[in-house]
Amino acid sequence: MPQTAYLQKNGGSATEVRQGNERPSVPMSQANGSGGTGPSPGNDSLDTSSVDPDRWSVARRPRVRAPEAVAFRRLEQREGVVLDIDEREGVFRARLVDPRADEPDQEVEVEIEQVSPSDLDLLAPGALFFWAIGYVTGRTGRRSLVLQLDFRRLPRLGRAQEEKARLAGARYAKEMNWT
Amino acid sequence: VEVSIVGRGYGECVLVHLGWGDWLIVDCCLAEPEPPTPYPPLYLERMGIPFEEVRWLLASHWHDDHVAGFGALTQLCNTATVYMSEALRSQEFASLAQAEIEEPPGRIGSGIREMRQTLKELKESRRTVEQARADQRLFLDEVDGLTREIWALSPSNAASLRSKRAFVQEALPMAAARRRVRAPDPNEASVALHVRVGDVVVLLGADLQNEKSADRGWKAVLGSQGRPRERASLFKLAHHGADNGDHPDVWVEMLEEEPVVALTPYGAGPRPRPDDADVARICSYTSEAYIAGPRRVKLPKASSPVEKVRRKAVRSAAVSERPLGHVRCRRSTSASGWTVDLDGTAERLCSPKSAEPSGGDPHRL
Repeated sequence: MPQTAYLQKNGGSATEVRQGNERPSVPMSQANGSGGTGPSPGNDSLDTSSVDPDRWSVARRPRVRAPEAVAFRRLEQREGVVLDIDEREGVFRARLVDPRADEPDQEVEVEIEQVSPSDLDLLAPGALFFWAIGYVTGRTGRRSLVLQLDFRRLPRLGRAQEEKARLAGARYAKEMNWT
Repeated sequence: VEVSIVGRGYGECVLVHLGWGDWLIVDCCLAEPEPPTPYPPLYLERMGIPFEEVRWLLASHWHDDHVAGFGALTQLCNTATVYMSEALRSQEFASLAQAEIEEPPGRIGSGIREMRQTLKELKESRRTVEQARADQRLFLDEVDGLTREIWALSPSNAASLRSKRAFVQEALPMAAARRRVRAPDPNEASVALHVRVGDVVVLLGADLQNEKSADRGWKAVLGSQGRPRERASLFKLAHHGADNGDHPDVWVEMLEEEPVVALTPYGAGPRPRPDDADVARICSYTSEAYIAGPRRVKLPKASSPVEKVRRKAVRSAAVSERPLGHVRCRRSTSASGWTVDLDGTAERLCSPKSAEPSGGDPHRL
């Protein structure tokens, strides 16, 4: 169950909404055990030694959970590659390919704001992504229509492998008498 | 002489018959994306032409709309001499192609996979690869008193050097970052050709563009002292008829008046080519212009919810692939004009100026 206990000031007493087995709350004026006068003189730190843990509680803000999807019904699926980015216009251009090759390839200009913030650093020419349009059903059963762009996080090759490629190229060119 | 210009919105190839059973194939495109089927062998088979008659294969530049299926083509036409742009026949490009970098799985690839397969096939079959660069005669002979020759008009030295540098400094790091590899400007290293059989001259523009610098692109070709001077009566327009592939002096210095012009559409990009302005410009030069495929294709209808999301998230969309189109131009060395046949979605680009165009009305293949 979500924790939704909170305090409301009401003339020294609190109206408490508790759920589950939460600790009872204490009016804020008694919370530091010093009669509501703040920290003891000469001691800048908060003295909590006299607080009875069983009587101690803090006001908790309601915890808001992101509605988690429980189902995604896909209506359109494509593989995409970023061709270029126009930050001034706030769009990126991409080529969309139907993985089943039933539909012809398309080139689209997509609003950059459709890319989730966590994927923005992956948005670069040549980046590959999955494109899906469909209905997402949340925990509450609410259904919404969305475009999902999932950028592929592929392991980058190291400098050693790049160097290996250079050497392989040199070897090939030599074997083919290109040099 | 026969020149076939084939395109599908994202893909282009050119087949040239120089007579006497000698064929040149420039680039390659697919007849079908799935399974990937290169178009040139299908056409040759349809015409009953053995693959041994293909004497030359040329990869004009490395763009995946020009090299799709090129690896399979080199296997099938295993007696042909393979030419590549000087920029591609280089250690720098081999480094990129030979890199043991697996492209991410999925349908989206890049020309690099195709070129890797091509280089592997060439090495295994112990075939040599010749380079093509500006002012270089690739072939010369004489048959029945007619001179036949093939000239490369580009790339210039400056364009090749820039491309080679970009392969190593820009494209290889992209591959290492596991992104779809794309060289920044491979068009400037593409190979434009001058093909002559007797008095019949053909100019094949590849994707050569106008560059700011005079030592690259069409400016370098026009300024060259070493290129052949005969004017062409047939022009495969450069870069899909885009204004950046068109230099007005080409029409004056390198082409006959009112030449036959053929081009392939390009459906990808922010401005699918040719656009209305391109068509108006091309038709101001000649009324004998043909395009291998429709300029515009309607987006397939999606379901209503998909349309709703797309309206919100997508600013523009266009179909980049079109049904295949084929413009075939034929001319006898003793005839004065070309005969044009159209197949698939190919069509005339300009309305004829007179009731009887020079080459006659196009026929459907």
